[in-house]
Amino acid sequence: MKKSYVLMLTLLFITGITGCAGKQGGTTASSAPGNQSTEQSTEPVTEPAASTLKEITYAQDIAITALNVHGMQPLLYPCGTEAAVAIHNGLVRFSEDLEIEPDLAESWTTSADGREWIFKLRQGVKFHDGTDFNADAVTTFFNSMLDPEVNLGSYSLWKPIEKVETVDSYTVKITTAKPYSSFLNVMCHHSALIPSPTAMAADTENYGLNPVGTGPYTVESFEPGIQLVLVRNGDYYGDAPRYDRITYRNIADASARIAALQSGQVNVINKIPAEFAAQLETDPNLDLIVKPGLQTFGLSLNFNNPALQDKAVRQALNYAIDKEAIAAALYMGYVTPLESPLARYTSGSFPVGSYKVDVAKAESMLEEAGYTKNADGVRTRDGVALDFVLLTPEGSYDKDVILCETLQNQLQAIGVRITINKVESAVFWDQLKVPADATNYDMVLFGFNPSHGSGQIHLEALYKSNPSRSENPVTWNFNWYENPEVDALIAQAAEEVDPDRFAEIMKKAQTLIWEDCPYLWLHSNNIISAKHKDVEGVAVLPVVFTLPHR
Amino acid sequence: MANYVLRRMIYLIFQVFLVLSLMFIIFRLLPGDPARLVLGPLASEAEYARYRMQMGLNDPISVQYLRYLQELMTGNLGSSTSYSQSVAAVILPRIWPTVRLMLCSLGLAVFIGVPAGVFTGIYPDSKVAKGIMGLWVALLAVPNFWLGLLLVQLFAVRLNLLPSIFAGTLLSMVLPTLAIASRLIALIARMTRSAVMEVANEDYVHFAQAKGLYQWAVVVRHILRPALPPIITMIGMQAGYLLGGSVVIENLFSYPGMGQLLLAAVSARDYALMQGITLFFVMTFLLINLLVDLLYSQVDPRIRLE
Repeated sequence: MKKSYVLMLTLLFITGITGCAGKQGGTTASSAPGNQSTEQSTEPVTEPAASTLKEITYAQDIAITALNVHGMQPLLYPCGTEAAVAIHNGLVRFSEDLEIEPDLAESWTTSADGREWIFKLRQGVKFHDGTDFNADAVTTFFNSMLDPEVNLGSYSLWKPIEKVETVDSYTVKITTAKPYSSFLNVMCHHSALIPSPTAMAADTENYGLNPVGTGPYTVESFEPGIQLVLVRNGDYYGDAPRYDRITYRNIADASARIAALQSGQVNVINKIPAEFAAQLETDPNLDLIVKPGLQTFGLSLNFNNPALQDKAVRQALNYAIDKEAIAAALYMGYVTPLESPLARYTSGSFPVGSYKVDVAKAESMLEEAGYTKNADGVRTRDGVALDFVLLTPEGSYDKDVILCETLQNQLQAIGVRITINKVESAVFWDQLKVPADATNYDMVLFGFNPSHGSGQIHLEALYKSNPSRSENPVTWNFNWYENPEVDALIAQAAEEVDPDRFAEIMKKAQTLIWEDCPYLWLHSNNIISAKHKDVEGVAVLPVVFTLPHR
Repeated sequence: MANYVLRRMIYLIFQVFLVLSLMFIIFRLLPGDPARLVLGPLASEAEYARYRMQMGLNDPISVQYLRYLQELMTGNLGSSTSYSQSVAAVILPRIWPTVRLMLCSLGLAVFIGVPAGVFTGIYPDSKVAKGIMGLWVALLAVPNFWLGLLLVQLFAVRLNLLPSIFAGTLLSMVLPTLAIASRLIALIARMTRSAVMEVANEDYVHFAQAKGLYQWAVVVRHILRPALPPIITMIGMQAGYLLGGSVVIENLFSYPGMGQLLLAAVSARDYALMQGITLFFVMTFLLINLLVDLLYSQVDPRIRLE
């Protein structure tokens, strides 16, 4: 009797499974979109997919823990910011091509000396709590952002701004100490999103839990780190919000995120690694969205190493690397080899050249510079060997360690020996922010993402020379590159508000830097997100934003 | 017994205090600057320095430790840097989900493991028993993260029977519970089997059968009872696994419990939050062991609590 009992159970179990599978009528992931809020049933059902979804779920890789636009906003980037942008508006905003578009400001003008910016604000707009939007709302908030105690983490972007004044109820004047070419980028930044002054004054500390803006969506419920639910704001002044409800969840593991999309439980996901992207492209129910990103990758070459002080050596290293092959093999074609120190869409970026792989040329350049191969196959000259320590984080960048090993191989072919030193992501930056003589690396794999889209700030952060060798690098010039001409151009570009002249100066600066090769130029990343085919229009911006609400 | 419980609770407080102190020092010895991680790469050196000063990270460890103890005495667990809320506020809503997941996994493991163990213990030579025992070895060998991924691929993506991430419904609890419980099922079943085999041939069992008692009554009343203590011990020993397994599985299924919180807190070097979570884990572990000991004494009258 016991035996048959077990057999019966097993049979029941098997019939149950096959029976349910049979009802689905298929094995592909052709499930209906998971219209959901958490309290409803989430059974992936068999109804045919609705052609217009009213409620969508967006699964991000990092949890949204707060939605404050003041204080420590970098905590939010990019996932919290994606939601904050649906709730708030700024004076201006980025289009999908990173052009500056009017948002709460209808138009703006610059004074002749480039120091004053006058914004004419949209009228008749109200915050979600009924407060009127006007110049005072802007001025109050912006002035608080000029305070370094309040503006933690984005203060360096706001520092050049001197004061913000109300001209009349719908006109704001912002004055910068000197002409500031990245000013509009700062106005598009998430630290310039405008909160309701009433809400902010009522409870500044907890504003991040109850944000109130002017945006197309308002917060219905927020469980920090778990889930955020936004509902449409019927009174939004811009394009009518497409959805009734957007739910933001987080799934840290990429394969779990993709499984959730394939099973229909979520409708949009972000941060898809390249190896999964290829497989998702062939899925008929999903749309892959690939956009060029702003993050540039390269091997930073330490100018404290005598061999690397020779420009011929640095250029030879660039010629030795087959960037196209790396893009195809490691990243399935989802990265773009660099043609400038800046990625496309960064302001001022201009393609200035390419070090197309030419191993023969690399070798002959090194020979001419006097570096000949010794018994071990490593090139040396007067006792100085092309033997370098390459520092790389492990887990910070997509395939960081494998990329380094590939580069190690390619460089070995021309007689350059690389020893790889891996460090954990969390300590990586600490290794770089040391005085010139304390550097323990010859090369560093580094990726820099200008989240504000400004090429001038990007160049200044990485290529402006540091004032003192005995102190830490000011920003990210940890390879101690110095070129006074470049410094002058960068300083000029910082203060050039005329777009054409700005472009010219930036082009010159990029050309010089490209030729100087302070980096072994590699590639810029792509931003890969995916959505169910029934989700209309998800905007993906090069500043790593996936915005389902646009 | 009340005395015993009181004494154990006092020990518990000491143990928690000890572990917390140890963790405090270890976390701060971990390399990685919270300032850089919180403020991001665009901030300047001055901003990092200011942040470090605000958070009291420049003080020597002993000073930070004393400050922490002082706050702990008043029930203040500190404030989380990655959440801009107090640690207590962040942790509180996550306690019940994790406990619930642990209880469900335990329940499932006992519900499947004990009957399976009893069956294979009473009929150790049957083919079915041998098959089941092979299954247990497989369940023990498979890492629960991988099992979780497999379950999601099979049941959520391919067959579309169950949700792939937690969504507040009972159905969405199934896969996470299964992923954690699988190893426990195997362990409990094996333990039950050996306990049952030991007892099944005792004289008093034969006597009960000779008396004419129904088979199942024999099992429950005379065989299961002596088999319980080892099972309960096993559960106590697996408390650590349950808590650890929750970390991995919660992340896989986006389950809003303490495990998911812990990984995020460590990546962000959010010291206060990490301490708070450690406090929870340590207390839970010790409480489970206390409960197991108490249960033990109830189940087996031969055991006296000292």
